Amino acid sequence: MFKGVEGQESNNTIIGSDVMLTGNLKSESNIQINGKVKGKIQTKSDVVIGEGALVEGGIKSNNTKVTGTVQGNIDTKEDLEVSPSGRVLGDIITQNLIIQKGGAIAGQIKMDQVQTADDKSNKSDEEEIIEEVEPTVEEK
Amino acid sequence: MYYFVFEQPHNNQISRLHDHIRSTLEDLKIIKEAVKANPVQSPEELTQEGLDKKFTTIVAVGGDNTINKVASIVAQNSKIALGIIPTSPKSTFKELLGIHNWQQGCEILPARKLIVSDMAEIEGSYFFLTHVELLPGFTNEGYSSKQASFEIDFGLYQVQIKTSSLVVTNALINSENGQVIKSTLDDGLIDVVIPPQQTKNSSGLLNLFTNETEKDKKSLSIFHTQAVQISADVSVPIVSEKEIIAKTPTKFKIADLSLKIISKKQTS
Repeated sequence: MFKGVEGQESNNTIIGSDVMLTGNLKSESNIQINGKVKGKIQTKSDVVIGEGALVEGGIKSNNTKVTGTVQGNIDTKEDLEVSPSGRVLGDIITQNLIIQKGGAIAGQIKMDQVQTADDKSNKSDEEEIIEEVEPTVEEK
Repeated sequence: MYYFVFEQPHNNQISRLHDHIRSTLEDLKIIKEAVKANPVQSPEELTQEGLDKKFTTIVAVGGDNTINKVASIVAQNSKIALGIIPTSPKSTFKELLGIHNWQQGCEILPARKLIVSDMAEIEGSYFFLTHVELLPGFTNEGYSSKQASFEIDFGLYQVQIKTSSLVVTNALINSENGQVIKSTLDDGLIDVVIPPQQTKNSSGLLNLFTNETEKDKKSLSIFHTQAVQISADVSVPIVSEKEIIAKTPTKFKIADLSLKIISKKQTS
């Protein structure tokens, strides 16, 4: 899990700590966020929210690791890991959830183990993120 | 037989190197005609002359900028192959093509094994684009670490950053250990890199990953895109091998062209 992002593989998208990104970021490969993002993030690979990073919007991915702060819903096909400094202010759908001591989640959690990965992959990824991760903490 | 376009020699040392290269090419019996760029004839014009003479292999001899200029003409004809003899010790073609010096550049020419690379387009001009830099502090007299506030528009999302350097490249290279992070020249994507903010004396992608602190690493950004519009609060020079080729605001995009390059390894 997350090997691709941390191992700086070839096609990773990396958002540096001094960067402010606005809009919807969609990628086929891993995404590492160390800066600020106002918008939705979608990838078929993994997402890592680094320490000090802030995402104001939803995330849809294969695996997600949160060390910074996410203000939005997370829909992760396999694993969601919340590190000691990680904060998730939003609802979660995941197959496996790992919350390390100190990590925090404020929102509803759905452990999506009934629906298989294959079932999910049959959906149109294009539109899913827009609809499923739309609600934000402020809206609840 | 091949047609060779040499860069304009700026000193006697380079002139002597050109003589060595020419001698080596004659020993290999592949040289038909060799021309040298000069104040009257640019590498692009000389390349076009070679194409007009029906040569099907054009070889660029020189630094990244000369190679880019020759490539920009060669790529516009799908039947023509480009050979590369890099003479700059900092050439990014070392890692990309496995051509570590001019001797290797000469040696691989006869086999004519071809790989394909994307071309980038900047304001109607084509670039092989190993990398270009957007440097607010660059002038023809020198370089300073002056910063500018950039707006980078990727279409679906926009990035704001205040920085002294932006890099647009067709292939990322980590030169710290010689490892190629990204060497896919034909992935249909160009890469926008925001180097670590504390990197000093930025004068090329080759400096990006050296002497990094953890803070430096966290400020590194890399985006992959087919097209990007870059603007700034001031007009920023776009620099390729110490030559200003354009200024912001400008649009970079993958061109509807591909370039055949003679390399050590052939791709399908």
